[in-house]
Amino acid sequence: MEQMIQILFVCIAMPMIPMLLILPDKRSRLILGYMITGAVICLVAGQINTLLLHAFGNDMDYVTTTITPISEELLKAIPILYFALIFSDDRDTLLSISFALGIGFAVLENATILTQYIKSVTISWALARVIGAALMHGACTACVGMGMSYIRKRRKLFYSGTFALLITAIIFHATFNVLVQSEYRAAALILPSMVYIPVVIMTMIRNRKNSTDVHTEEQDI
Amino acid sequence: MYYELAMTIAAALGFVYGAFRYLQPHKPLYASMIVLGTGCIALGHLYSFLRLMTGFSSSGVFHVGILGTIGAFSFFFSANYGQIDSLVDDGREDYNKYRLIPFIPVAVIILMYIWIMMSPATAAERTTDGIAAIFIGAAAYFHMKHLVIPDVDYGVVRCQRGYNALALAYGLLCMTEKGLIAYGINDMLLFVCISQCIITLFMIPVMDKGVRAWSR
Repeated sequence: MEQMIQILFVCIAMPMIPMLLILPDKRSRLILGYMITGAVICLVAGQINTLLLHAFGNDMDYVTTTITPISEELLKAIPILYFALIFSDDRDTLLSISFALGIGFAVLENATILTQYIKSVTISWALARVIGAALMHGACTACVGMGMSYIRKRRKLFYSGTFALLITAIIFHATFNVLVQSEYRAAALILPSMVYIPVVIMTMIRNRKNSTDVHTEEQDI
Repeated sequence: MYYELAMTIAAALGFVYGAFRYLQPHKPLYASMIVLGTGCIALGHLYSFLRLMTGFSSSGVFHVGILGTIGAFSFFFSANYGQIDSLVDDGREDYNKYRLIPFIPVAVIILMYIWIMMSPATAAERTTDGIAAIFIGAAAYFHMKHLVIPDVDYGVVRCQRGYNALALAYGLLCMTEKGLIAYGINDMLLFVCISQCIITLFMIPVMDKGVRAWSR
């Protein structure tokens, strides 16, 4: 059981690696690559969190509501920072890959928790994990990715802006963890949806506006 | 707990008002960052409130609620330093006094922190208060600078003096609150907390008024 997270990583994330070589376009490969990276980060975070738990005297409540949100958000930010520094600081690309990384992380985390509570899990538990944890990890990492889009354009904004967005992600994550461990578990499910739904609506409106603009320009030509 | 709830509501009201006005494309990034800073305040206090409500201890230990204050001042600093400062300060020598005067609130914050260091607070509280003081001090420098510097070219900073005064007062009140908690002075704490709520509530509308004045 101790190696369960590694076994799950091999079973879930590794089969996606051959698919990376088959996918035809660069964007799909990038998104899938970052989903796999998310699973790798989850694997690393699992080991680090175990060490942190020992360092804080096995106080599970304190560590999960205060320490793991910091360690996990910092770890998830590293691949996004690497991409923004080396490859591109395009805002849409950064948002897509950071959300994919968050989802990859959540998939392995959900699978690990599933094996820990295998006898008591239900469909409603699984749905709650999807609505709650998966959206929360996706939204938190996307939040950090947004700040990194300023890495080359405005350096003055990048340093403090990304730091501030990272802090926002940490508090959001910690708030979710506090609620999920309390009797107000339902509120923990609403919290990520409250962020995700407005973002989706705004993105849809923006995409529709962009496609209308392109259509109008084509008609003008 | 009720203070945390009041602060969450005050900051959330400011954030929602600001989000509808400024978290959209083609709106000034300066305003968006201040709105996000207010969001950070709301989120930090929401976390602290939920932590208390769900029975977790929050006194004498480090918890991420304090990061809300740090994040907020990081946004405020970023907005003033990254977006506005270069418009009013081109490095000319006759502006040196306007670069020195802002060190007054920074010195006040350092003195307040020394006062906290001498308190019976735990090492964790002193450390987190110290980290918060760095961010509050950095933001306070630019808030003060933009209050005193003559804005001859664009008039952008002149329109934002109300907001900068409120944000500076909020920073100083945050430090006062930390000091009062460290010494366990509860009578004055209530007055400081009510003042913080009122300032947080007015910060975004005052900033909005300033942005409207400069974009008119």
